[in-house]
Amino acid sequence: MAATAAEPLAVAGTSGIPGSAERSLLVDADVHPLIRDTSVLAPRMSRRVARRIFGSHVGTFARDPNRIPHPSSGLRLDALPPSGGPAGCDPAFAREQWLDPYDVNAAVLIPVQSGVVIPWGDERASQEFISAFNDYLLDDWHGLDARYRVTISVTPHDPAAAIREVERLAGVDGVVAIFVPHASVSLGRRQWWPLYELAADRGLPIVVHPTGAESNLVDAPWVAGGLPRNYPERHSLLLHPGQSMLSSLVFSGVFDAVPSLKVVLSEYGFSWVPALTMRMDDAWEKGDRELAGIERAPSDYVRESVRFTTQPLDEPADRRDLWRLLELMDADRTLLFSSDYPHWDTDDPDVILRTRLPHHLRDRIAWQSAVDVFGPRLGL
Amino acid sequence: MSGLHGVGTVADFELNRFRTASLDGKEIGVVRTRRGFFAVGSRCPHQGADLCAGLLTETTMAPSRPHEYVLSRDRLVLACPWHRWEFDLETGRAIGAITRKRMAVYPVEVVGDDVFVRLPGGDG
Repeated sequence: MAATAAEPLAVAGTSGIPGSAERSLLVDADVHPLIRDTSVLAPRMSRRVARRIFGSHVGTFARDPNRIPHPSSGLRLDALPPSGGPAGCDPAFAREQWLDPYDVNAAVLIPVQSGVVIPWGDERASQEFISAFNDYLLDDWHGLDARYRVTISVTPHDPAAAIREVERLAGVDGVVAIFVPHASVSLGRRQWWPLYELAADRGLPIVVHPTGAESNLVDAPWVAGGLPRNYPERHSLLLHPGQSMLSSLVFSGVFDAVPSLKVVLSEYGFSWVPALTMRMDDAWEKGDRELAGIERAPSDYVRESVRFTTQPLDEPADRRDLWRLLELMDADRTLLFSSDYPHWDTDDPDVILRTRLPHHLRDRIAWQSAVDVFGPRLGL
Repeated sequence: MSGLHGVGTVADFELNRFRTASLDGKEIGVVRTRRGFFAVGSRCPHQGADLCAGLLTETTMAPSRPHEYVLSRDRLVLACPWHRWEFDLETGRAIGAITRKRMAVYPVEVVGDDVFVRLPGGDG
């Protein structure tokens, strides 16, 4: 008995055939590469920093113990590359398992692994690690397949160094956005504005995404209200940092100061957006002089400048409940498809786009809104 | 075609490791365990992931009501490799009743050294 190719089964709500959804293009706005052993980055760093990070007693994986681990694995169990190592470490296998069968035209790589620097106290080590990390992804992932588009990381510790890194790489083919590993500093703070000005000038959106450091590592953002007791509780609350970032950005006035700035809040959920923006609008109307610098209603800025991603998709029993929320957040322009491959809660693009979302939004979410925000850098 | 379908000999099956076959238009996973042979539809009823690449355990919980966690070592549980929906290997019911959808399950018959899966609709 030989293993056979998948054939369609009568499974409710799924096609069973990757890539079969009725859509013309697909941009996956959230794919996670992983470097199997970050010591491969050592030759790209100064000797001092390499010794600092990869010395005989300390490695970048010698992070604080994960206090709230996933009960089985945070990665898909069927995405282990035959070449060895964890899911996401082999770009050729990811292409074979994800890009090709699902007809992904562009995969936005969000390297949350760079969030490992969040608790580091050594700013120079953080910057050198980030630079080496970016070069590695451009060489080994984008270099292998141009459909991999790299979100370059910047250090969260040193805005000036972050700007230098963007200036170094903004003109490099394959660079599609800037990933800011979210440390405990609010993203609306003015220390970040020069980075935002540069990002907008170079046509690079700012991407933020949970790194795993939340409620876990020193200097990381925490979910509100205290320490979650287990993984599902923490996972349910990961929207908190996203909500805080959104309000911080909007109420800071940065979208008036840098009107062409685009921000993508990836994997923080989206069904909360209508409720929060309604509340923000109400606060703005009643804010009097406290919000004198904000020229328009918060929901206007969100609609114009902020994008969200689909995964993990909320799946209410009646999908029309979700559709109503999509209307309220103007999802035709604010929502991008994302899979989160190869993490444990990967969403199948064919299932999501064909059976969970309304038909009239399919192309907008599958690729058109991604083109609007990432522009020609997607290479489509 | 329905009825009995040969899927190999007992020796073909490594313990707790699924082998798949396309039978009657369905992709079926067959596994030999210490509790005997089991056959399941390989696509998860949630998003269609390959259940045969999932985690087979003995066991975390017995089928139970929502928010009732009944520990048991009497049943085999198959967890999807993606979202970790868990199904009773014998009945196909979701652990914790998180969904009414079931994993498809099929009877397995061993005749001598030969292993057969019985699909519905025929007398074999």
